[in-house]
Amino acid sequence: MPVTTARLDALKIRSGDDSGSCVIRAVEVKKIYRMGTVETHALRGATLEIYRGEYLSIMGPSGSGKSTLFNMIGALSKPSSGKVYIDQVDVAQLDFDELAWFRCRKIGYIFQTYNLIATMTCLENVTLPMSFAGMDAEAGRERGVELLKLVGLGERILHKPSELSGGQQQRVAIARALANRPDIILADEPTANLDQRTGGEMIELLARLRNDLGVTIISATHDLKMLKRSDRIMWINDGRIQKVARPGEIDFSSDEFH
Amino acid sequence: MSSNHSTIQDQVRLPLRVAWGIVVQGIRIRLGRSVVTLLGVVLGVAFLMSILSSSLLRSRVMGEIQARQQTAAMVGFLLAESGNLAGRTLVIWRGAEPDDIEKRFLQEIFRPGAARPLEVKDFAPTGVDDRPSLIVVLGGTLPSDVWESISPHLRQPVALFTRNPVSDPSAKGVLLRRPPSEEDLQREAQKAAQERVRTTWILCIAALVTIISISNALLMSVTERFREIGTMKCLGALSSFIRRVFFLESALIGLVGGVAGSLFGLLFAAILYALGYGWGLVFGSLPILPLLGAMLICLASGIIASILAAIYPAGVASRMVPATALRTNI
Repeated sequence: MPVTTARLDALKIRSGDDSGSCVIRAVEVKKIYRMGTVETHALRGATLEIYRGEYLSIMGPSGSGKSTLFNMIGALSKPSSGKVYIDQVDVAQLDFDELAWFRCRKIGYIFQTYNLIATMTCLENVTLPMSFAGMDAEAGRERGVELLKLVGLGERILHKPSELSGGQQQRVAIARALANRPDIILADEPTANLDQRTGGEMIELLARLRNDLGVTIISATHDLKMLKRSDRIMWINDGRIQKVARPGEIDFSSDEFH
Repeated sequence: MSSNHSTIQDQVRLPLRVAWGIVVQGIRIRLGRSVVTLLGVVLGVAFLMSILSSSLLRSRVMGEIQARQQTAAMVGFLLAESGNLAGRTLVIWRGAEPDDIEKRFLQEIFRPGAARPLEVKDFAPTGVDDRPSLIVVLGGTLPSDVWESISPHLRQPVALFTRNPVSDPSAKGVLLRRPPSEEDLQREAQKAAQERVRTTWILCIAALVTIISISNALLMSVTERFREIGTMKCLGALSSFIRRVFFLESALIGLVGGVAGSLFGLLFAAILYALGYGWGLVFGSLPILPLLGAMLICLASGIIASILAAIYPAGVASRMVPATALRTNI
């Protein structure tokens, strides 16, 4: 069945209270991985709401279920039980191709390792999601140039990723994430491979984009600067959400952050 | 926004150009591995082509050698029957359109200094000043009234036939060319059939080896590119798009490998035969059209083998989960 906006509209939940403000809602999400007879409970019932236009940081040690939660709210996989609504659409009801269609238009991804396609120029990397979305090549190029200017790489559009520094590559990745005007940007440790200064620039760029474009930014991070810059911080441990707090309520000098 | 109204069908149609770009750039960047994959195809196709073309060349060379032997035998027979031909008149009766051997035979006896044959279709004794030595009947039969009108004027009342045995009992005829016996033909056919079975078997194994080696190389390419594939899936690439990238890459390798392989195979077989039978004999009688046909077969088999080889790797790639792009280790 072809995906259309009409089909997505039909899948949307009809609940009056949070229809505008809540961009992601997860209810009692559980995820169980089975390897032979061994069951791993990666998520043991996570319930959360992420608001439109907010800057949310997710923290958690490795094995805490952070990546799994990240995959759920990024429409990369489906929960074993529970519900995930992204922009009010129940993700579990989409098939693989519909998920791809959905990711293409609703979510922009930023990776720790940048993940630019090495064989393509910066501009081609940025326009790739647009061609997946069926955008005309000429219009795509125009928008790509515009986006690269927006992230401060206006003059390097025809360079290959290998000719750029890590910070510049991550800027290209951010431009690529914005390609199809997504509602949500999902960033997985976006500053982990960058030095302090470049990482700081990246955090400021994301904050600026959030303010200018109103895009929701969700990042998994341990970067103190990033945590301080975010609207809310969410802790995950042992497959559950431990606590959610605003940066003002947290003592960043505690051992947990060093 | 217009892209919001697009459907999955749009997504399938449009990125063919993108897929092609990814394939071409991918091959260029990973040239080393692509060349290894390509070599597999080239070797497989070259093997097929060398077998196809050597059987074509063999039949052509053998045919040529046989024709030369037959012609020589016919000329020898004629000389034995009539002695030296120089300065003598022969009557050539064209009973039918001469075939290849008969043409060669005519060329031999018309060679300067060999004879001065008189070629007539409707023999008129008054027009012949010299008494002809023999009558040679090229193809067909000799009507008895013609024989009756000619034979008194011949020095020897003997007709030499090149194709059919003598039908007229009054004609003292000799058959110049002995047709191959039924037994010989049967033995040849049996040998050819055995050869065919053996070749088919070898070709099947070669095809299998080629397909497996391409498949293996592509599988390596898939694991090498897990992050790229995962990233593209995160960005909204459909599984069918990923499959198409690998099928396109493989088909392109098959095409290039097919062209190169068929040229190499032909060259190999031709040089081998030329070394065995002489350059003039092999390159003078190249069966151009059948060889072009064999090249087309090789090209098609190269592409088909490559596409078959891509089925499994493309499936693995398209089933890869998008979250693999997020893995930081490995």
